[in-house]
Amino acid sequence: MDNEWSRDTQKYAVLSWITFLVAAVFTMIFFAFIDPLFVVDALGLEFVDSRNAGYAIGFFFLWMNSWVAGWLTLRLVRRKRTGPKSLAKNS
Amino acid sequence: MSAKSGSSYEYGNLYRSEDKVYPREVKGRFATLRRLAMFVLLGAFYGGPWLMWDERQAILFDLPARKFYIFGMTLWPQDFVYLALLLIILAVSLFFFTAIAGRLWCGFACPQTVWTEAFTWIEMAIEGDRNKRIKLDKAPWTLAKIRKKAFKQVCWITLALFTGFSFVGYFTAVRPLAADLATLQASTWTVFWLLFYAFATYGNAGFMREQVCKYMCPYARFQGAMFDRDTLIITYDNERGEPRGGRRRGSDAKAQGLGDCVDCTMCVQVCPTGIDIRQGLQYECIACAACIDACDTIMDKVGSPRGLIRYSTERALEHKSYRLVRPRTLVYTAILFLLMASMVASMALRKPLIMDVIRDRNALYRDVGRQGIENTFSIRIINKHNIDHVYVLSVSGPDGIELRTEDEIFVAGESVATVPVSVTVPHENAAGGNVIRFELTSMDNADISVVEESRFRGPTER
Repeated sequence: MDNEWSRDTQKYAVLSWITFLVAAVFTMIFFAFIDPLFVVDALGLEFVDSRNAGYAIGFFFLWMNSWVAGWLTLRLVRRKRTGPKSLAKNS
Repeated sequence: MSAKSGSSYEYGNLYRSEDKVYPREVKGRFATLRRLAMFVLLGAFYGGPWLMWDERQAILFDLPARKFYIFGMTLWPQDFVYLALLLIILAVSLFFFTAIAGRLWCGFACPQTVWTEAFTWIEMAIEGDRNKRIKLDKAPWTLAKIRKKAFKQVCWITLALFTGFSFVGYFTAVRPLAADLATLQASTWTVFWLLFYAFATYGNAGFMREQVCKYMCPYARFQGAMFDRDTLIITYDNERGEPRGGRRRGSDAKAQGLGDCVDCTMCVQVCPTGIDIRQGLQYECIACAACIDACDTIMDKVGSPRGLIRYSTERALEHKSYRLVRPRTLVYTAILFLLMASMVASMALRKPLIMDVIRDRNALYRDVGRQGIENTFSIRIINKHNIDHVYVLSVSGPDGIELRTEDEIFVAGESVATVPVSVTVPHENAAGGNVIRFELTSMDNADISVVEESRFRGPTER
């Protein structure tokens, strides 16, 4: 593996890892207060057959959430325009 | 964006490896310490699930049952605040140690470092030291190379799988888990998390290694904020070492105008993150002290005093005195002390009983004739004690309030019971919403008692 990661590799590695941590923390907080089986009953999700399945689905749902939010942020944050100074002056 | 946005600190670095980092094996004081830390920490991790306490797994975060067992203590989801406090205390401790001793955590205790150490150790045992590994990677795929590489992979994967198994063992009782896995009866999700954690270990410790520290670790990115001029860092003594250069054994370096650094580049070769410590403090440095060991060995060989690369502080390098007590350490100590005190206090005051009062959702109130107005509730009682208890419930509120429920409520140890309760209040006192207080007390121990407030609903006054 190359010693220097490209900007994009860095982006996706950081994005995935940080959102993983955030999702882990919020999964912990969420399920500390809410029993997954309660959610399963309330929403009628029969395919979730155990608490462990509930935890896992909850975690991946939160991870996906934070990942998409982070990814959109990365895409949408604008950098300062760089270019020849003359262009900036004329515009 | 180009991969190497040419920052100034990279300028003039002759030894920066652009490719894979091949850390050279190093021997010395800190290497021994690091290996010791590895054995202790990995031993604790792999051994942890097998510890027993009162015929039960000593440390078990029983997620399916929503109960955490930590030695003699049982924590319920309602005790989440302790977990939160504990995590905050750990975070502040990390700040505290960072301010005093720099990145000790990174170099010696971080799981990333510890497992990387274990994986590189396997790699070195099979493929040999640095030069042999570089050669092997460049060599064509002969049978011998395939054999070595395959054997390494098998060892890595086995270790990763065992790591995943031990990790899951903290969340699902490990003995039944081992039996289930052996008979192929483990549940899908259990197997999934085992493989997930194994894969993460394999990827992080086998392949990504220093990249995790350099690019992915949040702590590495903000640890600089905890540093000051009195923080212990690993540093190269510029004054003593420069100008660096090779010299003939026994020749007078001073006469040649040379410093103590013989420019052997050993410090660069042993570095797991592939940096040159002689360029000063860099954020890639995980303070593993491998370069100290390497340099000390060379200094011993050439007959110069040890410590050309050493643990020091910025102020010490400027020949100023070291200050342990300073505003930063005082503030961290104060915060840490406060948090620990509140943790101990709340643990000591923790009651082994929880009562939830849940209103009947179907009807706000019911007119029951001469007896007055009736509200119904469900009372959920959580007995957190490991022994059975019998409780008595009472209620206080407006004059004439009456409670109808079981006289004695039995709740087995570590379980939950829900009892229906009916409360009546005479018509004249029932209007609007009155605050009522339920009190639940254990019959065998009056200290075990909780009070919960709720509201009594009646017809609104006209």
